[in-house]
Amino acid sequence: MIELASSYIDHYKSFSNEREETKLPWLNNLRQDALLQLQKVGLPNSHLEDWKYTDLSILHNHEFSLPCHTEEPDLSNIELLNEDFYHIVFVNGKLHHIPDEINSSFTIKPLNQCYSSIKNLISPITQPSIRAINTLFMDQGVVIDIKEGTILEKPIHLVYLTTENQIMSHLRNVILSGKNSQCQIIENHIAQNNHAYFSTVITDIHSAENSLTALFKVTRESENSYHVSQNNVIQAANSQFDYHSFDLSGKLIRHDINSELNGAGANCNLYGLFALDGKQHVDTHSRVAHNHSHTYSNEIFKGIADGRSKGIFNGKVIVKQDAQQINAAQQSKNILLSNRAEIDTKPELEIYADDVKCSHGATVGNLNEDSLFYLQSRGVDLTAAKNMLIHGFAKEIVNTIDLEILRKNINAHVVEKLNLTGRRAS
Amino acid sequence: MLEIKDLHVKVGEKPILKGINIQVQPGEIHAIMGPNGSGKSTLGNIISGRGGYEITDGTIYFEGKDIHEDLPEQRARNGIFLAFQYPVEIPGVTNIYMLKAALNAKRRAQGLDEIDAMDFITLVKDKLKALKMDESLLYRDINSGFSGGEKKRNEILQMAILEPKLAILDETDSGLDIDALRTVSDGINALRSPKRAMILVTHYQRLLDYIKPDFVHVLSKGKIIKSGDHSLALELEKSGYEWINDETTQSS
Repeated sequence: MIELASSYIDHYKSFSNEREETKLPWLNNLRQDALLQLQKVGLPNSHLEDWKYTDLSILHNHEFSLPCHTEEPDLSNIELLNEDFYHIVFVNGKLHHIPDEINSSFTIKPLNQCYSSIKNLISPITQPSIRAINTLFMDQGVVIDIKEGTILEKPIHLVYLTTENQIMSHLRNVILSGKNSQCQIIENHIAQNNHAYFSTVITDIHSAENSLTALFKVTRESENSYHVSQNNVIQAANSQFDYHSFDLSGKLIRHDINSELNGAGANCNLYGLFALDGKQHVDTHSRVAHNHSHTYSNEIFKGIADGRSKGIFNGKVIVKQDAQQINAAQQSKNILLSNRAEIDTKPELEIYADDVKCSHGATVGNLNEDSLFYLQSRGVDLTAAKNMLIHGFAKEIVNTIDLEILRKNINAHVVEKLNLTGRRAS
Repeated sequence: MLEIKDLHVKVGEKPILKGINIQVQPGEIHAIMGPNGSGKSTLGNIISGRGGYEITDGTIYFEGKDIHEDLPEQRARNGIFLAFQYPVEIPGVTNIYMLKAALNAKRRAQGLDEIDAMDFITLVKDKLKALKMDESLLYRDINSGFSGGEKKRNEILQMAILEPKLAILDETDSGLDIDALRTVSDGINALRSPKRAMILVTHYQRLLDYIKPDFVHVLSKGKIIKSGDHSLALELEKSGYEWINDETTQSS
């Protein structure tokens, strides 16, 4: 492994020489830990149970480098940028636009300008994950601080645009949802051209008591890209976290969502939809830890796989000892549109308390023949009937978005992606 | 309009229909009765073009054309409608969306423009009222969470909007209480016309009290063993299917 990950380590050496904040000893130590892990195990690979289906060691052979100079990007065609949102734009992994000072009720600051304030919120490197390489190159990202009692009237929209070939980017965001606050955050991952690149994005969310945080993630990366994300959510009592993820393009996508329900009344709702074709690969791992009594979680993940694509869902629910009166529901529903596509879905329950309600269900199947015939017998042709069923299947997840502008935008992309042409429908 | 000759149908290795002959003219109502497993539903499915069956012999002509190779959607656009015994629930697709798609598919096949949105709404609302259906059903997912009666009414609603030449109603009376049966029957009777033929597939004669057929055929073990007028249905109700079976065994 050491030799294989060496190109990343070389990059790190030049990266660290340029950085000024290497004077921060705690950050230096953290990066040393990350470096050690990367040297020891490399990028997460199939030797690890959690990475059984998604082996990132293939990236050891790629020569991705940190972008050095970026031309002025063309943002004119970026969707939703004209909406009245708070926009944050990253181009090729570098912060390009951030809203001006807004008001005192919440702040958005570049990560590398506020390390000291978030020092205690950056967790150490423990088990192998994408956190090692992300920490190694951690520099770009934002810290969003929603102060106590603030209800954001507009969503925060983060655009991650990639325009260059053969680059890697490693972003880190921290969201602080203060007591009684409410916010909606949109993460839009998009690309111009079909470049090959590797990006990791870690967004850590700290939900204080009675806060409400909704995160909408849309992944429309290039056909040759590798996108790995991680969301770690620490939830206090009565806080709510809603996660809505839509994976529409990208060569390889991996998401890890980890929610720690630490106080009574804390709840999280996780929804995801992937629509795959070609040789796409999407892997979502969720992990919900019910660490306290009276905590609730609900997960619905749906997948549609065509061509030779592969979709993976692994949903882990942990109920700690003495965490009673838990309600955890999980569903994974999948449709295969081709006999060469593959779905792997697995619920994992670790329950150490007795007064709990945990349900889970997983289905993988083809389009229902009876439904197809029903529509055909009304005069709808087979292709249109298939499209109706597929869109109907996807709609449940699209409809979890209560922000209308966004729902329409995402729905249009979902419909475009899922529309079977005559060729694919046969 | 519909002419079926010596139709033999298999599912896998199992023969289901063993030589069916039936002729249906415009304006006629035919009832196909028979015990469970006699092949009644298969007949409706075969006429509508459902897959999974193999026609081993015989022909099906609709308006003078052999339709056995036509896709279900082609048959539907040409005027064949099947009201399902068990209408399928389709989550995520609204009733109104399907109705409009179905009507427009038919109109396109006839060389007509798609229906104007306002005209469509007016049309649908009129039909809804006649069937005593709540407007909210239009915006619900197809048959999802509908009661048994709502599902059957929804079938008749679709029929009323698509205005088929030949409607096959498969056990439309099953699962209906007396009030729902009356509403559904009224809906069907309203669609009777000299140009439209109907085939009522039913186990019981109950429906035929409301919709009086011109012809009654008794199907048993894949064959039509007796045909007659409405009085045959009443006879069956009185004496049961055993009576027919006994009679035919004796006479053969």
